[in-house]
Order: sequence, then structure tokens, then C-alpha cells
Amino acid sequence: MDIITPGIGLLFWNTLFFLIVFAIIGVKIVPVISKGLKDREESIDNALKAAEQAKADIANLKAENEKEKEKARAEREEIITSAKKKADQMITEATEQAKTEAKKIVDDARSSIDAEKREALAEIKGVVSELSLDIAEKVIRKQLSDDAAQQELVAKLVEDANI
Amino acid sequence: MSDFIRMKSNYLSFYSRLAMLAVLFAALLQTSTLLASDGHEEASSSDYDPVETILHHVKDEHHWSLFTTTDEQGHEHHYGISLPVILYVPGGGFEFFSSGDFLHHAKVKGNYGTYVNHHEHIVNADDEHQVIYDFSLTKNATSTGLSVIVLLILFSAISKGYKKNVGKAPTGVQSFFEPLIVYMRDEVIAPNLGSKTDKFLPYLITLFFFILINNLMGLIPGGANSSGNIAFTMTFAVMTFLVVNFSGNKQYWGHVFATPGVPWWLSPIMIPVEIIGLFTKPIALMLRLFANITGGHIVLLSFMSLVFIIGKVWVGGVASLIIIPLFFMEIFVAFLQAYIFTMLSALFISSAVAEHH
Repeated sequence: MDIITPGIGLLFWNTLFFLIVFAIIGVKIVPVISKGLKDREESIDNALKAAEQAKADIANLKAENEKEKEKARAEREEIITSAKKKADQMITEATEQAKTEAKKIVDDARSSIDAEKREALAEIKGVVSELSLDIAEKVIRKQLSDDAAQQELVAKLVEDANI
Repeated sequence: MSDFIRMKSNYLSFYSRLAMLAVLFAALLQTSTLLASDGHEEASSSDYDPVETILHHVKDEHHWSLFTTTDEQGHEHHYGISLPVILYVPGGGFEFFSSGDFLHHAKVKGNYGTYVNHHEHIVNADDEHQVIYDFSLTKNATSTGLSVIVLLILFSAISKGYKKNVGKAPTGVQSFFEPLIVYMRDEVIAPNLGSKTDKFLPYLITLFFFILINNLMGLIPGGANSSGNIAFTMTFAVMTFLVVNFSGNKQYWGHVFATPGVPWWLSPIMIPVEIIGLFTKPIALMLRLFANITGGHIVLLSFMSLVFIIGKVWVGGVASLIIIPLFFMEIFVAFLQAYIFTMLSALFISSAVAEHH
């Protein structure tokens, strides 16, 4: 029975020792540990949150960049399209102008050719009339006989020469 | 990374040192038991009483005896540490002696009478029935006192760590104890106490480490079975009882005196049952720790006693094969029982401070 009978001395010393330990460790040190642990947990928590925030920020930035890029691409597309359109228009216009010009040139050429032709014809007519006069003179001079038929022929030739 | 490796190697060296220590002590014990058995055999091999020896080792004593030798003349020589013997004699006063004076059943004369150590009870040699209050700093009390010093050294190192490494990873002793503290807080105390964790954390953490260190110190060969003493466990059971009942809220007392859902005419039965219930919890705490620690010591000592009972050298080798694993198990039990005591204390406190059911 001795073993399960608590001795008053031990009860006293154990209580005293525990109270000493509690007064120092429990009252003074455990709050320090508790606070240290909590502070560290908080700082880790905050760091994690900050990292999460940074990640979200980067994602946002990326999305914004992408949007900006998309916008730039669309703008480029638009510029290219409009440039192409303008170029096409310019080509069409130039072609049109060239065509008009060419037509004008051709027309001018034609009218000048016509005029020259007319001039040439007039000249030729003069030459021909001179020539025919010469011929006639010669014919007349040579065979200005009484041949009526020849006279008729001359007359006919002159007539035919009238273009 | 290098820090981690260093930390790991610290742990490893800690464990290997612990293991070496355990093996060394086991070996030391064995050699000492073998030497003793040789001496005993010559005197008389039949006068060895394992029950008495084991109980003597498990119980408290006034003198911290380390070993005893017997010389050629058959005289016993006791080697040990003398401890103060403090007596309070009602009607007289305090008496102070050294425990060395009481060896060999010597009668010691004091101011208020003559005293003798009768089976670790200091009694008046002339009147055995005289009431004497024994406040001696016995082996157990001294061991617990040493544990106070160990605890204070440990915790001052830990708290220094927290002051030094604010918001940083723990180092040194701090990093060894932090997992224990965090485990106790997050897995044992907080699930029971919730928002009131901070209020009871100092008590429960102190309790845990006080019991743990005493359990472990009790395992050091030559040490005292301080936490396996009923007075030790009773002290903490009473502490928990006081904490529980002084922090008990309206609901707790309501539950005791008017258990919800029980008809009023049952209260003559229910109230005594509930009041008995208040006391059975700390009594269970007290007996559990006492029985587990003392039981462990008895088992270890029983295997050691085999050497003396059989009286052969080789038994020491065989017994060591059993004792060494058991010793490691006892180290585990030291942690386990401190954990259980703290957990149940947290549970009882939580039942007293719970806001709703």
C-alpha cells in the first residue's frame, strides 16, 4: 500500500516545483513562443498572399499585353488594308489617266495623220495634175493628132485622176 | 540547404547519441548486475528477493543510493548522494538532517526527539506512532528539482531562439522543440479548446514538458522514478482538477446540477453521479500516469532481476536483448503518457469552458 500512498513531502515539493516552472515557463516563456509562432505563421501567410497577388498581377499584365498586342495587330491589318485599297485606287486612276492620255495622243496622231494625209493628197493631186498636164502636154505634143479616141482617153484619165 | 543538412545531422547525432546512451547504460547496468551477482552468489544466492528489490527501486527514498558493496567481513558499504531530511514535528518545529545519517538504521537525535528511518518512513524512535510531517528533499523530489533546472535551461534557450529568429526559421534547440510545441498546440490543445487555446496554452505546455522531462529522467539508470510516484501524478491531477473547476462556466455547472434531458425527479441520483464524475476524471489521470510509468519500470527491472534469480552470466546477455527494445519502448511511453495526460487535461478543460454542445 506504501506505493499508492502519496507522501505529503513529495506533494509539497512537486507543487512548489511545478509552480516555479509555471511561473517562469508558463507565464513568461510560453507567450513568447506562442507569439513567435503566430508572428511567423502570419508573416508566412502574408508572404504567400503577396505571392498570390503578384501572380494575379502578372496574369493581369499579361492579359493586358495580349489585348494591346491584339489591338496593334488589328491596327496594322487596317493600315495594310487601307494602304492596299489606296494603292489599288491609285493604280486604277493612273491606268485611267494613262488610257485617256494615250487616247488623246492617238487621236492627236490620227488627226495630224489625217491632216498630213490630206496635205499629201493635195500635194499628190497637184503633182498628179502637173504630171497629167505634163503627160497631156507630151501626149498632146506627140500625138496631138486627130485621133478622137485619144482625146477621149485623156479626158477620161484626167477625170479618173480626180480623187 | 546546407542549414537543412546541418539540422538533419544534428537530429541524427541527437538520436545516435540517445541510442548510444541507452546502450551504454544498459551495458553498465548489466556489468554492475553481473558483478553484484558474483558477490551475492558467494554470500547466498537464495536471499535475493526480486519483489523487494524492484519495489525499492520504484519507490521513493531519502538517500540517493547508487550502489552497495559487501566487503570480505560481510559489511555492506553504501555509495550514494546524501539528501536533506526535513521534518516538521507538530508541537516542536522543523528538524534538518542529512540522509547519510540515517543509513544502517541509525538512530538520529534531533532537537525534538530521536528519529529512525523505518522502511523509508522517518519515525520517532521512541514513539513510532507520533505524527511527523516529512518534507524531506527525497530522491524523487531532488530528481524533480533537477528537472526544473533542465526545463528552465531548455526553455530559456528556446525563448532566446524565438527572440533571435523573429519571423525566421527556427535554429538549434528551438528547432528540435518547435515541432513538439506546434504539435501539442495544433493537434492536441487547439482542437479541444478552439478560441480559448491561448488562455490555457501556458498551463498545458508546461504540464506536457514537465511530465515529459520527468518521465525521461526517470529512465536514466540511477535516476528516480519521479513521475511514476503517486504523489507526482496526484499533484498534476489536482492541478488539472482545479483548472477545470475554476474555469468551469455556467453550462458546465448546469450540466452537473441539472443535466439537460434528464427528468428532475432523477436528480437525487444524477447529482451525486455527476459530482463523483468530477473526481473520477482526475483520479483516472493520476492512476494512468502512475501505473504506466511505474509499470514500465517494474517490467524493465523484472528482466534485470532475471540475472540475479537465475544467477548465470549468460542470462545478462539474453536479458539485454529484451531490455534494450523495452527501454526504447519506455522512451516512447514517456512521450505517449505526457501526451495523453495533456490531451485529457485539454479535453476536461474544454468540457468545462465549452460554449455549446
